[in-house]
Amino acid sequence: MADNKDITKSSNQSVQHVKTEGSEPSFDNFEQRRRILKGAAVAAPLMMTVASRPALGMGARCTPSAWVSGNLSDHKEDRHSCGGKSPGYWKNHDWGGTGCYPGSGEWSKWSGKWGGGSKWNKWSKDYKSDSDGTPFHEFSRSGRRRGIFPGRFYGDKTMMEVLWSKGHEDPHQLGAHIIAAYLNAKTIPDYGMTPREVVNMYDQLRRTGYYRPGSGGHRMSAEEVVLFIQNTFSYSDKYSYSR
Amino acid sequence: MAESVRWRAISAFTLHWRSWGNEHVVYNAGSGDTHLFNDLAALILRALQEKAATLDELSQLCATSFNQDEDEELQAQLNELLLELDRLGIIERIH
Repeated sequence: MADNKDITKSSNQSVQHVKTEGSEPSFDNFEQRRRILKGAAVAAPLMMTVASRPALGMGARCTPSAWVSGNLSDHKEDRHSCGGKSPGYWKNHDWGGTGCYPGSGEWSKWSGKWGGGSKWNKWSKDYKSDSDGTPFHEFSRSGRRRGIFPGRFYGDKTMMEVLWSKGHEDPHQLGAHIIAAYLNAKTIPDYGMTPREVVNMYDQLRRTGYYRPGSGGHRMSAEEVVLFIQNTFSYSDKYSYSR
Repeated sequence: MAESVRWRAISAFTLHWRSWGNEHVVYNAGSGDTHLFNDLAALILRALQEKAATLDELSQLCATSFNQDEDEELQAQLNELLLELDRLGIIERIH
């Protein structure tokens, strides 16, 4: 059983040593299953969340130049702590403090009935198809707002629409990752890049097909830039959590 | 509307699981957050890691897994759970 002490212990462990195999939920016992569902009806399935705040950049390759200075072949195994959030995160979280606007959103109503027959309603916001958010590109014909990035590759799409783009519309998911990096840079102190550096990264990629951090050094392709940005999402196995 | 919405786990990040009896601790490598789930939440998240599913499909899965009839109370609870997992950045809606 996981009491608070166990959870703290778990949180301080190396996450790479937490194996999925052999620890998956099993529901072999029929009576246990019935008890679980009955219990679940009166208890919150999501019982607790411990929000962790990383010590940013400790030993991490959080900047492009630090990332390319490592052995590129080793990057798949990197688990660093740069505090970045993913494109998926920015699809459904608050953009406050970013200076960008996700869109006004449409409220979706979820309805149902409780066991006793009384009705419940739940509302949540859906930004996916909004066209009034901050445009991706600096000069957008349709947008009332000024966008962020130079060029015209994504047309008049908003940043949120680029986040939701299908694969063929956003090769390597470059646009989605650049947006995530930009919003991270806007909101996360000590993130590996400033917002201006993220814009410059995209600008250099679209003009030349590669990005070269600093002076000289390795030329990063769009795929490598995406890998670098993804590297800022993950965490080191040396990382110690703070609660 | 809500009935046709499909959900899936956000695949960009690894979720690290550890279970004690009917309690499950999940560490999200993307957010750095650690969550404590009961069996119902664990079953749902596991299913959404496998493939996208609608509320109805998840409700059927729960009913089958726990050998129970589907009812509105279960659906309402699952709906609340999905919205909470969405808010936490663990799953996402696909249309």
